[in-house]
Amino acid sequence: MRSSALRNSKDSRGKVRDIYAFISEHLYFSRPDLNLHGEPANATLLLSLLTALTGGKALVIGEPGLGKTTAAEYVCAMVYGFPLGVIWSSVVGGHPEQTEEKIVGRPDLGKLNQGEEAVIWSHFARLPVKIVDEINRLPETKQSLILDGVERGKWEYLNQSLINNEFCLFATANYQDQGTNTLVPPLLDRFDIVVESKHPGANIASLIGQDSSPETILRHPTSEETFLTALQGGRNGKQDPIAQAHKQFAKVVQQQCGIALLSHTERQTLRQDIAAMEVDLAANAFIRMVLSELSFCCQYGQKRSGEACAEGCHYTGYLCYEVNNCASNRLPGSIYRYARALAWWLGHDRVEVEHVRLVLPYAMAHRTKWRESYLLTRERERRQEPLMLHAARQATADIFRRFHEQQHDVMQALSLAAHCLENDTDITLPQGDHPLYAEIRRDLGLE
Amino acid sequence: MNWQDVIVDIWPQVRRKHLWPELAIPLVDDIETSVAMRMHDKQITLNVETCNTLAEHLPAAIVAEALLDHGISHYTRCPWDFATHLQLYSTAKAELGRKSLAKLATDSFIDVVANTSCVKDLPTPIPDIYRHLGGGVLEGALTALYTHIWGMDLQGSGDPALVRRLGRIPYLDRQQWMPSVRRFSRLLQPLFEEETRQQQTPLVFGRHSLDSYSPEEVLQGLQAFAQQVSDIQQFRDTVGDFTEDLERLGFGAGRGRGCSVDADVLYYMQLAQTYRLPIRSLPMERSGSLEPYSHIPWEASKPVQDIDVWTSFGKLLPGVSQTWVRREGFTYGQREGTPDCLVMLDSSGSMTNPREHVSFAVLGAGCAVEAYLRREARVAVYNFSDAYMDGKTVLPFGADRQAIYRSLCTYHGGGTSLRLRDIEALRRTAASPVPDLLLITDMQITNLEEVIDYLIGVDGRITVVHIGENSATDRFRQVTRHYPRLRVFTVQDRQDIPQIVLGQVQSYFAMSSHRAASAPSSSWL
Amino acid sequence: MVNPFQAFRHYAGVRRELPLDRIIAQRDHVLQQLLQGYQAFVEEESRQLVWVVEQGALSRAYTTAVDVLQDIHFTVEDVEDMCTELDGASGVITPLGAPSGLFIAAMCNHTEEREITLNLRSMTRRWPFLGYRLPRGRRLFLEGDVGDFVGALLEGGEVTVTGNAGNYAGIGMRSGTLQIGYSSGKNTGEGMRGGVLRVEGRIAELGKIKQGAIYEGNQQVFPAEP
Repeated sequence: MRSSALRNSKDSRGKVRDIYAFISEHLYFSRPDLNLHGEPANATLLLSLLTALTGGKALVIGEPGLGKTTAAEYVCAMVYGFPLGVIWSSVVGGHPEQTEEKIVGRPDLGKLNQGEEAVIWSHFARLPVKIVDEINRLPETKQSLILDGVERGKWEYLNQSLINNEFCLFATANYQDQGTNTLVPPLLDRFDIVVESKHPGANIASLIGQDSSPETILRHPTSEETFLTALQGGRNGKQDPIAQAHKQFAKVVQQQCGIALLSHTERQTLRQDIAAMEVDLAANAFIRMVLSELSFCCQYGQKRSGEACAEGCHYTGYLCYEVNNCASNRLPGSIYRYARALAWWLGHDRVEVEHVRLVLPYAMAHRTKWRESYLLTRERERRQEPLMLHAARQATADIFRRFHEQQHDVMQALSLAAHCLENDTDITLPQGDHPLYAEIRRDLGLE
Repeated sequence: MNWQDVIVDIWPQVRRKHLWPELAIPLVDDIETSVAMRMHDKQITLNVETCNTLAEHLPAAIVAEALLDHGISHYTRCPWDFATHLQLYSTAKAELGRKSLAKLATDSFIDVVANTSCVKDLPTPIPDIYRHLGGGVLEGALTALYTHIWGMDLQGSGDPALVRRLGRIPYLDRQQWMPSVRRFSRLLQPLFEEETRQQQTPLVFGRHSLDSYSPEEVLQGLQAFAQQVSDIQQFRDTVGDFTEDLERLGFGAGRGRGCSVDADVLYYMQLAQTYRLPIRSLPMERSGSLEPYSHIPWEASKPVQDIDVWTSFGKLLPGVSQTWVRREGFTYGQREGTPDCLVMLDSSGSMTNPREHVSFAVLGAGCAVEAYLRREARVAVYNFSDAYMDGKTVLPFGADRQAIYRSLCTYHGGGTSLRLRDIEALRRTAASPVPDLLLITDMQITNLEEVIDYLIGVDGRITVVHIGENSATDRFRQVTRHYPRLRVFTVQDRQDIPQIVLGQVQSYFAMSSHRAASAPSSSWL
Repeated sequence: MVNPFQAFRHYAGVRRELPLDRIIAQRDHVLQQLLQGYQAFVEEESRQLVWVVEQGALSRAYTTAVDVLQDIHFTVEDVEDMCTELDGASGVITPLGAPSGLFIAAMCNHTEEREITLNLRSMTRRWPFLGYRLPRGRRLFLEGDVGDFVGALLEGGEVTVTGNAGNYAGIGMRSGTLQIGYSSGKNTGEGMRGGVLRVEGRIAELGKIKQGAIYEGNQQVFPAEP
């Protein structure tokens, strides 16, 4: 069973890699900015792909016109097998006049006039692909509406519900300008990762627009019409017309682009394989060190917004001194999700420290409120990404250094703690300077 | 033997062993000196000659793996960063007194720590290499040390008493590296001297220079080191020994080659980086008018005039109809910039010479300079002692940090008088109509009354920082206490400095932030 | 209750145990014993009245130090480390001048090695009483400057100081050799009853000498050459 699953995974992996290669060569021109075991990759494209595959939630930021939305559209079109026109019909634009009716669904007015409540669900709610363009131009209430819906995969309107079996969310945001609202921390925390869609450089940018519009590759009016009709006719919840439309579009893509799209079953199997991927002990210990540095406070029990560390704290050299808020419980989930996906992408059989180290900056950048002095130290450093991502990357490097020095001692301490909890009282816990040791003692009731 | 192929084969497992350091794949090349490898800005290059020599005794893969383990461990174990390197060097130099000996001691210590860490934590063939490396008396003694502390016979040659003493140093305890390098240096001093006399390459694995670090790492290291040292002299003594390397990396006066490095200027520049001001660049103001903001479902008790007919589908039903929520709009306030700043620094005989001891006056001026330059304002410097007798350094308004810091670090000594005509002339050259004035002095100015009269009468915001307390400062405070544009601060210790700079400018920002009190807080999105 | 450490239950570290670990552990253990012994020694001597540099008190203090050191197995390297530790100590362990010097002297006299070298150049303190009652067959080589009372009551051993000595160098020497590389202070050779004291540099002032020989450079100053 496992070997056939692995075979399927390999085929799926091959398809996904083909999709990645196709998009990067024909649709989304970008510079590689990640080095994955010697293999260059573009962070925006790769992480978007992994988001679509695993059903994550990604916040894509960047200057206007740098492909934030288009990257998400292309990835979703090819992973979920929808023509671009259908994807476009489901995109929610960020502007203050957005209403729940435009986002989620509206009453069937015909039936309403006859006294019957029925809901016509929007394409945004129905399709597994959720793209919100310029989410920070939405009022906070609408941001919250979308994120709550995606969190649970369930949409409600007029006491009726629609449940998505699979979904992913891409939200794009420009940097702060006159017409934008703030993405408040509770909303930011719901995103698994944040990634910047960068300018590809003058040479690559000069290629854009030379050929005919790349979108035509993924446009197929016949398929789009079939889909839209099926979606409109799907008010009775029948999926068959949509499944047929998927097959038709997949055939078109195979013929035109030579790319085999993923079926629903393949996506499900792939997700199961990713979720079942083992995390090795070193990676596990590293994640624990990260979480302890982002949540621990020797003075106040845990980090809290508005409670800054006093000068001269014993843990001044650790990140807990540099952050002003506590890591949420969504952070480890995001780390595991994307580290597993990355390991799967690379064809590894388990998650290792390297996978965690690569995804961690993207998972923590938007969730961390840094002490001003830490940010201002980083501000003047040379970097290739926004300050928050750069600060997160440097913080990751700092924690990794400590992990590198102490990994054996930390894992030994965790092992001894396991024995202690099983009432093995002859064991003496090793002492260490890292906040994780204090956390272990707290868990054992020794502090 | 194609060594590059060997490296390509073993590189993935070596990287995995060291937890994937962010290093490029190593190269193999002819290196002029007889060292085993060269490390330049995260690129490891192995010496093909050394590789061939060692391959006569060991398999090629073992040779390559051992050399790479050693090279990578310098990035992952010791010294890891430039600040640590500087600290080790500084401690060794304090013990040995000479640059050449200190460098050799630092390099040797780094090698011992890196090798021992590898041997302890990883499966590594480094010990095999040492059986065949050769080298002089120093390398022989270190090999004997490895035999003693690793428990393997590596056929080294060293005085047993010396080796026993070296073996008692806790190399793997990072917290004790400084006392350890001191003891290490003291014990091996005779061998260092002998190796230096022979002028050969004493360490087979090569020396560790600034080339191993990127310019950004060097900058971070200098900053960290400036904060760690107790006095400017220690900084100068240490950093001054790396002048050539720093000049090559462009840390001299201006950028580019051939520019000399002034360690004192570098010290204040790096130290001033640690004091910061918050930056609010674009204040928002409420426009005063209500604008539609978002929809919420209409409830029966709510007024009907804000119902949006279009989104309510023509129905007036609770839960179906949508009504507008309005909020006050925001517009941009008048753009506020930062005026230029004229820094008047007293460097008379009663003030500390910044090149001999840490001068709080210069440090405070540096912090203020950083605050203004960060906000794209320009700074002029009037460094004075007895200005009437030409004891002054005048730098016109500009943004050249190196030039500004050099002007600040100039020490005139002598008497103290401030030539106000010079100040006025300089002030009028500012681009902004009313530049800020910052006066740092101990107030023992000959023409203090004239200065007071001038400061009271001039436009713009004035910050006066006096070092220490005396009757002149009391007089100054008393006369100027009713002038709101003029604020006076005292500096007794380094901790007072951020309060000074922030105090004056913060109140200015506080005024503008008060106007936009309910504006959304600036964030990155 | 969920065991959050379950995943690590069977973790077995792969770190090699090096002789270095054993050496450092042993060193720390012995140093700890020596520091505790020193603390006990100081407390014991503090119970007596004022610290008086007179022979009876010194002899008693030295005996106390020897008793404290009896059950501690230390080497000459431990002596050096103890000097370093006392030199840098502050707060809990108080490196009082005279007791420290006596304690170190007791260590030097009872370590297994016959030849001891102490590098005092980088130390901030000038230990007094180094070489106190050094017995025959032992050689103490002191690199750097020393404090007062170096080689006091020397009992046949050889003490060499490469730097300067303080006052009362060689006080009460019975036999043996005391060599000082540079200068010595006042009362040099006070109460000396035998042995040879050589000062390569200047002697500030001679004390009341009974017997023995004292040289200042190449010139014998006691007994004065006719």
